[in-house]
Amino acid sequence: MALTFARPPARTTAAPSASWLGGRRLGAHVVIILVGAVMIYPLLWMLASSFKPENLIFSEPGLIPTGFTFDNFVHGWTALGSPFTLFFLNSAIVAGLSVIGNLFSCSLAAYAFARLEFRFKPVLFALMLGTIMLPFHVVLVPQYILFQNLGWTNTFLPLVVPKFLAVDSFFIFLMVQFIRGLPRELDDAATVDGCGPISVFWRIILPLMRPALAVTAVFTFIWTWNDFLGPLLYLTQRDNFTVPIALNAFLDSTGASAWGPMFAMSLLSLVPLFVVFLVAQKHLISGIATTGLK
Amino acid sequence: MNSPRPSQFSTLIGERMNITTTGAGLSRRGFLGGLGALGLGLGLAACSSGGSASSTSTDLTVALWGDANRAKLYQSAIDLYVQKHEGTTLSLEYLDLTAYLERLATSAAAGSLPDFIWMRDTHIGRYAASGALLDLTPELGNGIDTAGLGDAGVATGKVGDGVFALPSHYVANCTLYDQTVLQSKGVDYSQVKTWDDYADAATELTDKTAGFYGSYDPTLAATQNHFEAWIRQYGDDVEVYSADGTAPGFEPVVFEEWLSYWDKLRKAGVLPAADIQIESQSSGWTNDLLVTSRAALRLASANHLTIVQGLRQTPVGMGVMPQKAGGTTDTWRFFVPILVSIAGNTDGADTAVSLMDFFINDTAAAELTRLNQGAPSSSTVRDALVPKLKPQEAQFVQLISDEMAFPRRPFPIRPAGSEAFNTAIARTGEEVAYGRQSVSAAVAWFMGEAQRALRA
Repeated sequence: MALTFARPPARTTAAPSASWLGGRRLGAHVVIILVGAVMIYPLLWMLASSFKPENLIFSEPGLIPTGFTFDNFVHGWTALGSPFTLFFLNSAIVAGLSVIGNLFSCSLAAYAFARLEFRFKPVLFALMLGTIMLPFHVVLVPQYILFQNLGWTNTFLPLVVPKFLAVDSFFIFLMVQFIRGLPRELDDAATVDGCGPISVFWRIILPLMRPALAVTAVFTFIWTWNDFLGPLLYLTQRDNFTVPIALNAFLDSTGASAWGPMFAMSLLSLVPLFVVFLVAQKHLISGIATTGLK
Repeated sequence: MNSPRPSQFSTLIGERMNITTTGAGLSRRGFLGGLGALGLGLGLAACSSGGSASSTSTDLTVALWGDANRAKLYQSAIDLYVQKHEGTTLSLEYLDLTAYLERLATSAAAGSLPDFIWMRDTHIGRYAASGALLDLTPELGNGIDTAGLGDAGVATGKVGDGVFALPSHYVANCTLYDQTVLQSKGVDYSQVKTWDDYADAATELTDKTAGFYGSYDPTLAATQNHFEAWIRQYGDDVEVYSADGTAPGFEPVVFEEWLSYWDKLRKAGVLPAADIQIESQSSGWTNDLLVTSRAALRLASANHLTIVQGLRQTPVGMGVMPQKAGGTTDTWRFFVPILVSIAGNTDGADTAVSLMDFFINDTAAAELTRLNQGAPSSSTVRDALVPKLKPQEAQFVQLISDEMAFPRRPFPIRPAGSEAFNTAIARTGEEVAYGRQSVSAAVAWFMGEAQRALRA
C-alpha cells in the first residue's frame, strides 16, 4: 500500500523534471569536459611543443604552432650517443620482468596470507602491511649498500630481483582482499578431490583472481616504466639507462637544456603506457571494482 | 701514501648495524634472529666497503653533472687521457645536477663514491668533513702541478687542515646585457661602476608601456652568488660565513640593504613582479627574461654568455658586476670554482691524481672541453686557450684573467649547514618580493634561521 502510494508522486514529479534533469546532465558533462580539458592541457602542450622549433617552445606558449618540424624527434632519437631504441628496450626489460615478478610472487604471498595457516601469521601480516607505510627514502641507503656489496650496481638486478621476492606489499594486500572474497567452499571441494595447497592455488585461486592480477600487472608496469629514483641510483652507465633517466640527460639546469628533443622523446615514452592502459582498461575497471579498492 | 679512508657515513651505518646485531643476540626469537643476521651481514658489508688497500687500480669511474652534450666533450677528453695512458679504463657517469647530487649522497652514504668526482662548491665542505674525500695535500706540487692555480686556487678546496678538492674551472659573476637595447637608449654599460649606476641604467632602460624591464631580479635567483659578492664588497673582513663557519659573517644591515635596493627597483617597475620572474626561470635559460627580450640587464655567471648568445639573434654584451661605492678595496668579483675531488676510498688513487693533473693542466684536454664548465682554472691553460676561442669566449676568459690579477681572498669554504643557509636566503628574497614581509622582518627571520642552519 505504502509502496503504491509512494510511486505515483515519484512519477508525476519525474515527468516535468525530465528536461531539467537533461539540463543538469548537460551541465555536469560541460563541467567534466572543462575539468578534463584542464587536466589534459599539459599533455597537449607537450604534444604541440614537441613539433615546434626549439626557439618557439617558450616564446609561443599557445597550442597551435606557427612553425612545424620533425627535427626534435629525429635529433632526440640519437642525441644521447645511443639510439633511444636502447633505452626503450631497457625500460621494457625492467618493466616486463617486474610485472612477471610481481604477478608470481605477490599472488603466492597473498594466497599464503589469505588461505594458509602458519605460525606468526598475524605478526607477519602486520609487518608486511607496515612496509607499505615505510617511505622508500628510509631504506634507500641500506638497500644501496646491500646491492653494492652483491656487486649488482649498474645492472638491472636491483630493480628486478626484489619483485620476485614479494616486496610490493600494496599488491599483496590487494590480492589478499580479493582472495578473501572467494568462497572457501571451492577450496574445500578441490581438497576433497585430492588437491594440495599448491594445486588449489594453481587450479582454483589463480584462475579466479584474474581481475586482481590485471590491476597488479598494469600498475606495476606503469610504476616501473615511470620510476626515476631506482634506476637513477643503480644504473650509472649510459647503455643501461631506462627511458626516464635518458630523458634527464637532455636537461642541464646549469646550462641550456634541449627542451624540444626532450618533449619529443617524452611523448614517445608515453606510447607504451597508453597502449597498456588501453588494452587493460576493461580488466582494470573490473579489478578495481572487485578487489576492495572500491 | 693514500691510505684508504672509509667514509664516515658507512662507518656510522656499520656501527648501527652492529648494535642491531648485539640486540638480536640477546633474543631467541626466530625472526629477530633473522633480522640480526641480516644486520650483521649489512654491518660487515658496510665495514668492508672501505677496506680495500690498493691504490694502483687503473679502472676508474668519473662522475660529472650536466647533459649529454657536456658528456660528449668530456668523453673525448677522457679518450685522450686513455690514449696517453695505455691500460687505463675510465667510465664516465653523468646526470643533471639535482639527480647527480642525489646519487652522490646515496653512494657517499654507502661508501662507494665514484673514484673521480666533479664537486660543487656548495657541497665540498660537507663531503670533506665527513671523510669521504681524499686529502690531496701530499700531491700538491708533486702529482698535481698547482703552479697555474696559485695559492687562492688551492685554497678553494681547503677544508680544515686538508685540501680535498682543486678547481678545474672558474665562473665569475658578471652583468649580461642586450646590446641593441642599450645602444638605442644611449646607455654605455662600461660607465656602470657602482650599484647606483646600475640602478640608474636599469631605470633608464625600463619601458613600462611595452612591459620591458630594466633588470632581472637576482633576489629570486636559484644561486646566491650575487648576494655573496655583495656581502664581500662591504669590507675586507666581511664574509659570508664567520671564520669558524657557525654564524653569518655579516651584519643584518648588509642583507637589508641588498633586499631594499632591489625592492625599490621592483616597486618602481624596473624589475618584473615576482610571479613573472619565477615563471621565466622555471624552464631554465630558454625562457629567461634577457633571452626572450623582456629585460635589458641581468646579473649572471660569465660562462652563461655563450649560452645566452646561442639562444638569441641579436648581440649580448658582458660587463663587470657593479661595486659598492666606498666598499672594499678588493675588487675581485668573486669567482665560483668548479671543483674536482677524489673519493677517499678509491683503489686507483694514483691514476685519479694523474687524471686530476690532466684535467687541470693539459691544454689539449682544455681544447676539447672548451669553456663548457667555465674558464680553465690554470692561468697557463687559459693563456694557451685564448687565441683559439671566438671573440666573446675570449672576452669571458679575459675577464677571469684580469680579475685574478687583483688582490683577492680565496673562495670561502661553505660550512656544513650552508645548503640550508642558502635556502633561507632564497626564502627571505621570496618573502620580500611577494610582499609578504617587510625587509626588516624578513631579515630578522633570516638571521635566526641562518644561525640555526649553521650550528646544526
